[in-house]
Amino acid sequence: MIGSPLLDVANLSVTFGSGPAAVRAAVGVSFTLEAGRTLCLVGESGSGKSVTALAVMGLHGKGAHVAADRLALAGESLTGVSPARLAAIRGREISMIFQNPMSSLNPAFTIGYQIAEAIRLHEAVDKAAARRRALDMLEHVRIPDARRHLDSYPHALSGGMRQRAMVAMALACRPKILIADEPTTALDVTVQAQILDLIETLQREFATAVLLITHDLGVVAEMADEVAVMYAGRIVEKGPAAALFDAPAHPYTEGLLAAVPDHRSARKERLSEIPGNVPVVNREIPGCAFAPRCARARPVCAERSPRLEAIAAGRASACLRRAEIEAERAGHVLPCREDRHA
Amino acid sequence: MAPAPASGPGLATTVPAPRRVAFRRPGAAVIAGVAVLGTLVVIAVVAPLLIHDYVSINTGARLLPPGSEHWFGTDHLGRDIFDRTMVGSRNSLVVGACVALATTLLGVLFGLVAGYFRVVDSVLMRAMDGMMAIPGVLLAIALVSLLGGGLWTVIVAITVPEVPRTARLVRSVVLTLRELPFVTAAISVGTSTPKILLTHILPNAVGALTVQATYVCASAIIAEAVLSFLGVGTPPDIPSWGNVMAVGRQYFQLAPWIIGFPGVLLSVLVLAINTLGDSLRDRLDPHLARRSGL
Repeated sequence: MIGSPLLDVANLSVTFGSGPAAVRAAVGVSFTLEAGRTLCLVGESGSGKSVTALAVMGLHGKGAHVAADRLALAGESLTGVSPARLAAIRGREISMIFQNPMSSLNPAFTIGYQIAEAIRLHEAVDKAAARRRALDMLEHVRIPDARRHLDSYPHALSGGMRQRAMVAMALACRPKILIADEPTTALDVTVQAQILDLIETLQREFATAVLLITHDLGVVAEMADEVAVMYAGRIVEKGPAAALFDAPAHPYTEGLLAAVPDHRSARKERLSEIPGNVPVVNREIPGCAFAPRCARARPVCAERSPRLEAIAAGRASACLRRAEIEAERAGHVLPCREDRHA
Repeated sequence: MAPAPASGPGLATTVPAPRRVAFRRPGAAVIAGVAVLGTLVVIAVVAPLLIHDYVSINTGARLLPPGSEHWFGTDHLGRDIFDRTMVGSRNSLVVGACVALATTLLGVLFGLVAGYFRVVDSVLMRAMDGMMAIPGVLLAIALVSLLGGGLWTVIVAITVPEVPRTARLVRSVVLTLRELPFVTAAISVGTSTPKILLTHILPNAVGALTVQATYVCASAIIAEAVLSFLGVGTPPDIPSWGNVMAVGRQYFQLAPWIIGFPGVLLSVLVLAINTLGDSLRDRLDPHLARRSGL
């Protein structure tokens, strides 16, 4: 890593409510994102991925309390900036697309108008020029017959087209960072692949960094340079995607990988799962938050809190039994899916 | 091989541009509503220009029943009921339109602020509750005794208790809309708060507001008639349906036409406006529209 990273988040915590009933949705989250790279935040529902992203954008509601040692975009701190400055940063420097393309566009305006508006918020261009740029963006996101769809209302478009329009709106001012919060969850599988492909293409073209939030490890494998796995509001493992997929260093990551259904397996067997649910962190959890669901848990896991510690170049894991997992793996061939199913 | 035709239906492959709302043939009730409202608007505009003498007293022609000379009959002072009713329609429509406009403007202002800025919400809405508690008739009596009777006094007196209803409607729409992803998405591309309110929230509330405005208009027309009937509305020198009917009350058994004609017109006008409001709601409400396959 050279110089200061594009997005630098250190010790970010998001708390809802106050006092003993406060829910800590994100605790001590730290990550960095370099220009043009893709970082995936992975985890089950309720693990704090979306909350982290919304906090970075400053879009968390009034009920959420956000604190961070450092939350900086290209060296400029995002904590405590004026609403006007924040509005200037959003869209221009950092942009976001959302899970549900059906309701992410204003039903009262044409998509061309909405994209042109997003441009005119940040650049002093006249309406005609903004409209030409909007058309250009619609062609970039490969909406067929873009000239006609410039004047389409959102309800006339399919989910995939709307998400393309959202991408066009988010990238209209060429922001340095695109945050994509489960951008394909609400779409058909075939459309999912197209949207991901589109994001990747535009990322290369505009040199945008992408913070991709997903629970789909297939998406992670396709898109990610780096991965951060979140559980109960904390990052439990992070590292380069390939290394993390090859040799997960945290039992939760192992569990997530094992839970991916394998279509190559001929046997019709029960899918592997992680028993239980993500806990709501509204009290201090003694020990590891994952311990109650962990196949490798030992009594010590319920007593001592694991810290996120570096384990190799660019990799870190928060597991007390990491050394044992590594030793076990060193003795084996790399576990592949069939082995774990057995 | 036969030569290809120079033109044919197969060549017309251009896709029609997407339209905002698919046109649907209006129903008979809507046509009737538009016809009634249109006729009365024309009367309200034209009648005061054509009919000049609607106040002079003609004691020789008192309480005449409807006939060829006095179509709607005459009242106890021999004034022509047809003339007074036609001229009076202006009063009703002006009050209805002004109250609907004023109520909508004030309701939008209060509703947007209360719905979006939670800090002022409870203060503003309690004030609205207070306004709602003021009976329109009492307020009108108070205002008339303070300011003297007149068209504007009547409009203010009817507007005050109507504003909270519209403000509540707008607030509830804002509360729903502000949580929708497109608002968050608009914020995430850097839209400022005033712009969010005016370009993202208000346009999506226009449907509900238009419908509400028609109901406010209809109820304001009735309220004006009630106030004039009670003698605290329009002063007697300006004919209005309400004060024509107020006169008719005393002579109901002798001359039912005095109260009958303006009463029927009042009912028909209010029914027409409500019918239009209902059909607007059916068109503008996305849930109802979807059900009917728009």
